[in-house]
Amino acid sequence: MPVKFLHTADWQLGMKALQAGEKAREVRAARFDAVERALRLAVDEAVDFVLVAGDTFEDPDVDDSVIRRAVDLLEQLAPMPVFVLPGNHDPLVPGGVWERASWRQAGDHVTLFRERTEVAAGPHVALYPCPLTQKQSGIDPTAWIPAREAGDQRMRIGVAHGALDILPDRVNFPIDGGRAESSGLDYLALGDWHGLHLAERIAYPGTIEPSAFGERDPGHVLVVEIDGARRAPRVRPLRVAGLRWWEANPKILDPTDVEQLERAIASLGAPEKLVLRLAPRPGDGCPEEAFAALENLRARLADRAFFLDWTEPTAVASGTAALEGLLAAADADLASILDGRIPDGPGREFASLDPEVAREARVLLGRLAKEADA
Amino acid sequence: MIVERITLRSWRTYREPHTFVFDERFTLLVGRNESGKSTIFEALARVLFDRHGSTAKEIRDMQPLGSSLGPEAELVLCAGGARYRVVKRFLYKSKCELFFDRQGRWELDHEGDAADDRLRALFGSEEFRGATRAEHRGLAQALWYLQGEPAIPQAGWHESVERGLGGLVSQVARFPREDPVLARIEKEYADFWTPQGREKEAGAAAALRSEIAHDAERVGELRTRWDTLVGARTGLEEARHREREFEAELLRCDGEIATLLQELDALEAESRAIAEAKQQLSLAQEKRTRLESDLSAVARRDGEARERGSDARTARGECETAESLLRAARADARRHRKSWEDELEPQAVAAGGSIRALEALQRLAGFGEERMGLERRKKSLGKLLQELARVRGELRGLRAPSRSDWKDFEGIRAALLEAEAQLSASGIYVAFDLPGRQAVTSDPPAPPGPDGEHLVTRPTTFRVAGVGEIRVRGGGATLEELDRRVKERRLQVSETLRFYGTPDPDALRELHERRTRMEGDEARLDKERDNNEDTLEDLDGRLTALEDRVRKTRETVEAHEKARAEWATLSAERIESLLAEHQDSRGRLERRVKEERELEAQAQKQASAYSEAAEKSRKAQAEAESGADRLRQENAETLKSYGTLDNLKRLERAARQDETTLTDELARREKDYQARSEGPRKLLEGRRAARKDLERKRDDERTRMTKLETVLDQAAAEGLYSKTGDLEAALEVRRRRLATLERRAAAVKALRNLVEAHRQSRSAALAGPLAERVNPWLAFLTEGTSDGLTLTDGLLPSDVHVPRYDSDLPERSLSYGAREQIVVLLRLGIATLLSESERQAVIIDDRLVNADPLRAQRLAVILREAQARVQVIVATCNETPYAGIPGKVIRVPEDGLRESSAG
Repeated sequence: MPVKFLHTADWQLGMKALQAGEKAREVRAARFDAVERALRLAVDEAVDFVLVAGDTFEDPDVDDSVIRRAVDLLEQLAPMPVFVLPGNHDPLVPGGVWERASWRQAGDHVTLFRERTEVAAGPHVALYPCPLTQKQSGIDPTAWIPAREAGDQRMRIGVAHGALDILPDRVNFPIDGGRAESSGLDYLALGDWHGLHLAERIAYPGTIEPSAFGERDPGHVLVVEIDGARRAPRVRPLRVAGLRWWEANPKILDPTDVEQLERAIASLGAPEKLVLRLAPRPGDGCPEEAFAALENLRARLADRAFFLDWTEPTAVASGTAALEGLLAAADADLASILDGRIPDGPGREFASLDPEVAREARVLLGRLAKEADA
Repeated sequence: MIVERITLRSWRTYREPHTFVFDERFTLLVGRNESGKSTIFEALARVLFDRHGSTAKEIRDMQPLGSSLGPEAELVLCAGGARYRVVKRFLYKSKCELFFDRQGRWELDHEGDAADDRLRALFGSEEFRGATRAEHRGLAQALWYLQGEPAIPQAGWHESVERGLGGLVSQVARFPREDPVLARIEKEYADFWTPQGREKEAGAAAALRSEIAHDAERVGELRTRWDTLVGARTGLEEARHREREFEAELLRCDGEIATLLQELDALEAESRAIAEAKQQLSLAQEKRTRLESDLSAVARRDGEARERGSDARTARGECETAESLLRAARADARRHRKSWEDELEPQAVAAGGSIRALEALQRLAGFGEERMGLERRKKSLGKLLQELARVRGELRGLRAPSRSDWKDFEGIRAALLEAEAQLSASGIYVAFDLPGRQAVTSDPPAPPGPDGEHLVTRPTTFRVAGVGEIRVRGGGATLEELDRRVKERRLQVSETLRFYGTPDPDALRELHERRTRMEGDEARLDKERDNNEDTLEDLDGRLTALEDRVRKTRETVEAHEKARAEWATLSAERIESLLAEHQDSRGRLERRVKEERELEAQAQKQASAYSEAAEKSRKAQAEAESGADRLRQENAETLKSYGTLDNLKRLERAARQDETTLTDELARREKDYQARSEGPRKLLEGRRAARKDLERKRDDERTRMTKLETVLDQAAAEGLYSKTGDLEAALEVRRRRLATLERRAAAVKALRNLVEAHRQSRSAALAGPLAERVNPWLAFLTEGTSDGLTLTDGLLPSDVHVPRYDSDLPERSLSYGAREQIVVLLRLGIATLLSESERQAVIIDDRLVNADPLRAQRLAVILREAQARVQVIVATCNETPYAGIPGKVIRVPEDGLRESSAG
């Protein structure tokens, strides 16, 4: 008797999203949208049940309104069973999210894994949940999962939250990479890593919606199908994220580099779904056209992108309006300071100027000269 | 720029067109004060730096007095290698036209505002702000030294002066493209900083910083709350841990209690038997108690019945005694009443009648005297009234002056004497001493006085018979008046005497005194009459009343037998004695009556008390007897179920015995039971107490948990997590913005300071060549007293070097004239520098008047040197010092008119 279920994790509902600045609130709202899409997928895919492998909520102290909305979304799935695992962000602690009156409103189809004990998900499926009761630990939460007994023909699925010990420096809730093998699990549904990771019988769907720059391939849920005990699971990642977070600090030498950057951004999808952090690095002497193209790109992204964190270039265009007299002298002094040299003449007393300020001053001078020319 | 010619029309004193043509090198405008020299320079400035459309007061002031024509000037000048002609008219039909010389022909270059702008640009003045102030004239500020301007510009040279120099001095390059960028840097700088380099209080950075401080404070508050929540969570976890420990303890405790209860259950049969024995004992105790109670009640009631019988007897005895005393008291009362009523009171009444009779006799004796007194007073009063009537009758018949009449008469007499005395003193007395006895008559008559002198009081003519007439004039009005007054008074005196029929004033006085005496008598008699209290009618009424009283008193005497028969004849003393005796007797009797009445009242009061006591004793006797009967009846009822009292006593003894037996049995069994169950029971109690304690502790933990959960729930309910997140995000955004702003502010400040440093460096570079030009002139002018001029960054003189002491003297220490001369040298220096690329015009409007003759000559030498490089135009009213300078001399205004006519 095959089983089909949706494996998701790291919803991180209520996340502060400080990196998104003034869009933080909208970023928070986007996570609910992603959950809604994921749950709709579960219905569309007609799965037998849904597994949420930890970090449903960002923190034990998230607002009641966050919990209520999550419960409302889960209610839409009834009567489809939903199994929820407390993770390290939302561990089972006194007064935590799971003890709130707002969570207790969840229907009977929602099961919160409170104990490390086998839970049946139908006659042929046994779940081995590993709920977390604290934020940090060096103990493998899956260590308790018993080995398959001889003659046990059920499909055995582990549900845990932690870091596979296949990477160095992963000490919080380390999970034995050979757990599926050693405990005779057909599938080990994991949460914690925000990027998609698929191994033979072990998988991380990653966070449902990106939560920071630098996450590798976030924003998926997994539809898992297992035909029977000891059979290889079939895992299909499906993207549900609404926003795409992307950061880059490309070196710009000429306008073609800007075009390349633009193409890269265009390949990410609709601009209004992009959370961007860009710090282009044109070198000194980069042609004026490249600066113009960068400025053009910045203006368009500022208009259209969901969020743009743009670091202004700190180099001066080679084609900047020719500086004369006092201005040329000042510019030369600033260039000397940036090169680490002490300027001659009146600029000598500015030798200790902060290079950041000197760079900004030089860019400013270039800009003002350009404006005056125009 | 140099000026070739200027024509003025309708401009102040120049109503007619005047044309002045200037030499390319040196022109001296000579004229007296108010001749119009300064007007020429004013016209030059206004053509170049005022808009033709201006209607400012200064422009209107240029119109000739009484004229409505627009002031107009035409100017020909050379600038930037070209030759221009400007025609500008203000106010009425204002216009501005700028022509340039194209191969000897004037071609219109600009007109209207465009022409104004072009002209302004020639001197680098950036905007039209009027020609009135020197600093608004661009480069001309340095080249033209006109009337009314300070020696040294107060606000420094206009930027265009420095710029003009910068563009022309070979050592320092000038770059036109700098200016807009520098202006932008200044603008950018002003966004962040004050001119003094302080951050702008109202700047964006300051506002952001304030917002960040506010946000940070709020975040701090929220984080403090989060610390509380973390504490609450830790506390909650600890409490939950302890609660679970207590729960486990409770479970263990419950197990032990269950075991102990099982042990105790095994002793349950014995316990039940003890309970039954207790029940039996209780019944036995109940029975014994009932019998004891009945026995005790019977004995008590019997005793009480006996006591009541005794009480009844005592009350009966008391009643009999009281009744006996009552009777005795009533007899006493009757005796005393009889004594005062039948004996004493009649005697007292009789004594009272005797007293009244005796008193009547006494009064009858007194009535005679009273009647005589009244009759005497009646007679005396009659006489007084008769005398008064007589005096009044006489007074009515007497004609005599009253007191006021006499006073008036005396006044008239005194006035007469006074007038006569005055007349005697003031009059003219004429006496005739004639040899014969010639008749002397006078008109008006002036008869001689006793001494033969005639008193003349008015013009009088005396005729002396045979001798002739003597006319006397004198006196006048006063004498006549005195004479008239004397006559009037005499007439009044004589009329008064005639009225009273008296011959002289003495008789009149006597008559007056007589009247006075009679009025005194009348007054005295009136007073005597008024002093009498009674009138005759009063006295008659009192006599009648006296008679009535006599009659009534007699009736009293007649009514008393003894008085009528015996006492009527007794003497007053005897009557007095008898009266005293009777009054004494009556007093004694009345006291006795009072005593007897009091004794009677006492006896009656006692009788009443005895009566009440007897009644009370009777009532007590009845109550005691009734109570004894009731108690006996109750005892009979109680004993009815026992037969006899002895039976009751026997039953009570038997019940007590049964109870003792049962009590002993129960004690024995309980002791046995206690010995067997005590251990488990104590253990059970201990466990139960321990359980209770555990339950309390667990409940305490639960209460603590509830409180802590409430804290956490409250934070979650109010959205503290999101709120903190929102605030932190906003704070982060602001901090990023502030960092950008601060970096930008620092950058613009650094850029501006760097540019400023270069600018100052360049100013120093400008000052050098300028000083080089000026210093030799200064040494020549001062004959070596000063040989060097130090210039500020703004190219203004600050110090002069004095070689004798090898030190610098501040420019402000110099005399006004010296400062003026130095500034002329400085302007010449600037002009010569500027003229290296294009010849410039230097205008000096009569500013060397403060120079001494020697310095004036030396200045002329310097001007002569300068005119080789610049166009020098000097206005003066004294041409002597400039005699040696080759060039042109224009007489103002006459040469202008001539030139104009010629042109």
